[in-house]
Amino acid sequence: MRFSDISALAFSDPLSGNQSALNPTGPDATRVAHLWLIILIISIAVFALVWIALLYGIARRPGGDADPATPILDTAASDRISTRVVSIAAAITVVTLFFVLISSVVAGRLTSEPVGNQKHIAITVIGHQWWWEVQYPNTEADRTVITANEIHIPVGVPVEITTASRDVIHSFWVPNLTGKHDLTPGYNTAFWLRADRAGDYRGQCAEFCGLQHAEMGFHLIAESQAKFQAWENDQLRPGATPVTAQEQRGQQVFVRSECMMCHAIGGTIAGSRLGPDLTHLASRQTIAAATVPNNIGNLAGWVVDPQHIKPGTLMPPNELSSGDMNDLLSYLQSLK
Amino acid sequence: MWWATAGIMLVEGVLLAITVASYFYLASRNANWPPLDTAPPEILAGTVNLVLFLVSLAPNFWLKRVAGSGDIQKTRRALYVMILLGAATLVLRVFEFAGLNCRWDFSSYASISWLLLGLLSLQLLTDWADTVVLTIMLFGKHVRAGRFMDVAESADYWNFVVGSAAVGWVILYLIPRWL
Amino acid sequence: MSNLAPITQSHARADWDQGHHNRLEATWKGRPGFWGWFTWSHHKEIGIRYLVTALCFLLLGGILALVMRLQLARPENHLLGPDQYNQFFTMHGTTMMFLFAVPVMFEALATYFVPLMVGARNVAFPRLASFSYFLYLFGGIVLWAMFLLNAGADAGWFSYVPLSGPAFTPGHRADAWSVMVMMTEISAVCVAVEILVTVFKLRAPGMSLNRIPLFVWVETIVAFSVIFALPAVILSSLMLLLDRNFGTQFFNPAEGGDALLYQHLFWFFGHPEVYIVFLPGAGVISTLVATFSRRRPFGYLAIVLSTVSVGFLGFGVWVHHMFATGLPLLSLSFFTAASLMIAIPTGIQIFCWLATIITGKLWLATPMLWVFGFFFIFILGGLTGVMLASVPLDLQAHDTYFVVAHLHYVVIGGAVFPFFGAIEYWFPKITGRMLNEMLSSVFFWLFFVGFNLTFFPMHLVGLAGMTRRIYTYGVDRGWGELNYIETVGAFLMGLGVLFFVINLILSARRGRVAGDNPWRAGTLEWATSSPPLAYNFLYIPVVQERETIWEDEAHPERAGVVTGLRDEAREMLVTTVVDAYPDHRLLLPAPSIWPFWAAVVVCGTAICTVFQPWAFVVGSLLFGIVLIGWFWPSEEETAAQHKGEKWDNATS
Repeated sequence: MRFSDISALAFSDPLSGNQSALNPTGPDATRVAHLWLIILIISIAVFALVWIALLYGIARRPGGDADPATPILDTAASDRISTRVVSIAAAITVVTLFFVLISSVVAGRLTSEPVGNQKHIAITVIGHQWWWEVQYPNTEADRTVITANEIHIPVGVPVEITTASRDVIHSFWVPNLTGKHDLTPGYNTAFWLRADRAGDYRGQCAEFCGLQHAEMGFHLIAESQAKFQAWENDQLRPGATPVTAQEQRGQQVFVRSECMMCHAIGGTIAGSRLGPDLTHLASRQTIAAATVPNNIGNLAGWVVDPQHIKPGTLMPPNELSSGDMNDLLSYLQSLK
Repeated sequence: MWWATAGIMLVEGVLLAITVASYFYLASRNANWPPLDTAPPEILAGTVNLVLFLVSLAPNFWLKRVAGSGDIQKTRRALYVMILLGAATLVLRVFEFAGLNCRWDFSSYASISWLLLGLLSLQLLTDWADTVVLTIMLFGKHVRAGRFMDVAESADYWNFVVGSAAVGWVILYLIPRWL
Repeated sequence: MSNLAPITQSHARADWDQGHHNRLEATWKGRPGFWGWFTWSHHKEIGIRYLVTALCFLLLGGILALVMRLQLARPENHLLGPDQYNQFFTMHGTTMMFLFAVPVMFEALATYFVPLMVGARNVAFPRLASFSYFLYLFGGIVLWAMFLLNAGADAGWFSYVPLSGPAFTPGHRADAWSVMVMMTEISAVCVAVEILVTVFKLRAPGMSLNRIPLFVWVETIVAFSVIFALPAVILSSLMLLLDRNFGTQFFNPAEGGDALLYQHLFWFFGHPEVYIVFLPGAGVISTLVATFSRRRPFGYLAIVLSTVSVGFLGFGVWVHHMFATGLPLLSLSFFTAASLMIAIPTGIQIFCWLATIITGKLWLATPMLWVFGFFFIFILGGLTGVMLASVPLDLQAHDTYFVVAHLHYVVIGGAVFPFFGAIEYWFPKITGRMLNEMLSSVFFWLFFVGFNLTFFPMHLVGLAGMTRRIYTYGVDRGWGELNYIETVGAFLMGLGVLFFVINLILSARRGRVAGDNPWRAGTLEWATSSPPLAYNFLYIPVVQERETIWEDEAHPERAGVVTGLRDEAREMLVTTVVDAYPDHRLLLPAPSIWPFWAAVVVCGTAICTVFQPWAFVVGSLLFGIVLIGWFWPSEEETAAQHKGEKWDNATS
């Protein structure tokens, strides 16, 4: 029986979902979930003991609280007993906390180190207001994957993520797999994770970063080695050359509009890194940092007026004629 | 009450300590301190000022003694000396700012150096103004025993100002040369 | 040698002396009239001002929370847009922490009760008390004025850089925040100095250190924490103001600055801050548990030492707010150890209170409801705190609703519940009338049930992935049901508070008359009338034991009072630090309007300097002038001083 099954029984649906720390699918999150369970059991015991003592005190009280009783001035005898009891309770507290400390330090050690000497995948995640730039660095430039808001990893392979931020502090968090790590300007921290089960895990920015902090999500997809390799190869292909006339017109619309001021598409002259790289836009399941599904309706709405979907986002609205819009959409949807 | 002066010294001391801690923190985050395009501060004005501060401890000690004895003529004279010395340190502070060799917005080194010197200068200025007011209050009908106690406490506070200035001197002038 | 009557101890319980009363009343009462109100510098009036103002901020902060909960009750709701929501949660946190929690738990309660509990007629620096209050009030007004103009602070109650820095928050929103923080925290530091001096030097004779009531001990230790912690946030806010408006580079990594410097400074303040808020709550619990168990608190020394430990250790855990920033794991583990260690003295206090209850004669009066509420809620919060102390666990729970649950359990359980208990207990002392018992019970149960409905589900929804400070969330997240329940709970709490406010207003006018000591408690504030007269005690009591009233009732032959202090001048008796032997007389300055003007000048200078740097110079000069007015002795004072000293004018 998996941990998530227990939590689904005891609590409610979202805890067994794809953004839940209590539905661990990687070694780090699993260790943390177990640690949490241990401390939870200790906590329940402590709470119960305190309340038993308190209820005992309430039950022991003299009858009739209408009038305040004369105060007890000589408490020496009961104080001697109390001293002994409190000292024992304090000692037990110390021992318990020490146990928690050891468990925590051990769990922390294990979660911060890579598993074994297997080869690993290196990913760089760069935080922007309000999207994630994802790079799979390689010494050869044309073997470097650059994408946005969607990360693919093979199951069972350790992944080292290095962080950076282009503006304010963000925090990378995918609860099913591991704890969160801040992306602080001026710092490049690195951490590890590994997925032991295939799945589509949702992550979200976990450090308040401004107007659209709420809608700065991403998907981390763990898949078989074969599927991952296929995805990586697709991402490494240069930008799709438009085939149909409509797609060609669409590319022209892209290049002559404001789009290329912020967005890059491989194979065109558009190379700006201010906004997400769109070379393989159509391969992604969501747009606007996991805010809405990637379909033609949402894409159209986003291009015309991003402020409607993510008020405050840095992308301006774009007025396009319906013909231009259809062409552009057709082109964008060809970018697999 | 002496306790009020002690309270002020405690609070200012904590503020100074945290500023100094921030100075060292920023230094630890920078490979070059000061940054390569900034020379360490000119040591002359600051060191003369430090000497002035240390020298002022003597008349300050005398001030406390005569204030404690209630001798109004000697107290006034001692206060005149302290006011002159204080004015000199203030003037030298202006040269110290100029000698920092950077404007406050050049770098974090510049900012924290200006902040430290600025806080110390504010402390110096307020104490000097206080000394002037206390001197004025030793004339006319408001003279009473309590005034002498105020002067004695102010002398204690001046020791704290000198101590702060010495710490400031070490941080601002020696640390950039040592790191 | 002075020309005044000697100070002695009289062994009779002094009878009422109308002449003495009249003179004392005339000396100590505040000036009447509109402008007179601005001059009042008596601790009880200032304490009430703090209480009322803080309660207003509680209500304002609570209303913000209710609107936020309405927005979050359903996924993808449109009640508040992101800009508004960001201002709302920033204002909620800032108001509750800076404008309610510390002012009420520390400034309000300490200013009102510490002098009464140590047997003094006023605080040590009455004008400073007045100045501090007005500075706090103006700081709060500045912040709320900006909010009501839709230019409110919107970078979180902690206002992290770079988000709150010049590049990402244009305008003056974050400046208003920084100015408010500096003003209220300077105000708190001033009160801290005042409380320390009052406790150390102005206690009634015979009240040696080991006879000080636990509540006073706690406020003293909190005062030390305030002095050591608050300068850090004053400095970080100053640096933020400078970065935003004067081009400094404290937090800009491109020019050698560091974003984490802000976090270190803020949390070096921020963690002791929460103990500054919680410890007075613990002090109230000690007081209530003792009175309503009809015995002195068990473990006096243990509780004092535990409080000192918490105050001290509180300075060693700040990095546990920064576990996700990427600092080295070994250093982080030290902070785990320290954070867990704090649970030990806290636990010891809880065990001592349990021992007191069990070995006493428990009386289930209404204030005890809040004590039991505390035991439920605060302990739960403390246990989730143990969870969060662990680095790997915190990395999952940090910045999610799990932490929101934890912090509300500890702050509301550890401070607000004791606070409401304190009001239930001390309202009769402050107003002379009892609160309505039925309204109080309804309030308690609505608040208790509402609280748990609101905040318990947050533990779950946080672990289910819901991060903090988000104005909305997707339908597909599955967080909607729990959020809806939380909103219902919040409104139950609000309803309860409504009962509370009604109770306050009705009972102040028509409540049952309380008498001097309705709870037959043992500490000195109950040894005078309700409400206390302007001068607190007709004669300063001489203290022989800890629970003075109980001891005096049991051994009336040992009771004594101080005679010989002047009643035609604002005179107080200064005693020694450890044993409280009488030391010398102190003449307090008269009430004055200068502290009010000083606060006006400081506030005006701070605001204007944000727009125009030279305003700082002008403002400083004005401040200097106001200070001279403040300290310049009046004719009356000089005459009173002359009478009190023999000083040879021959050398002038």
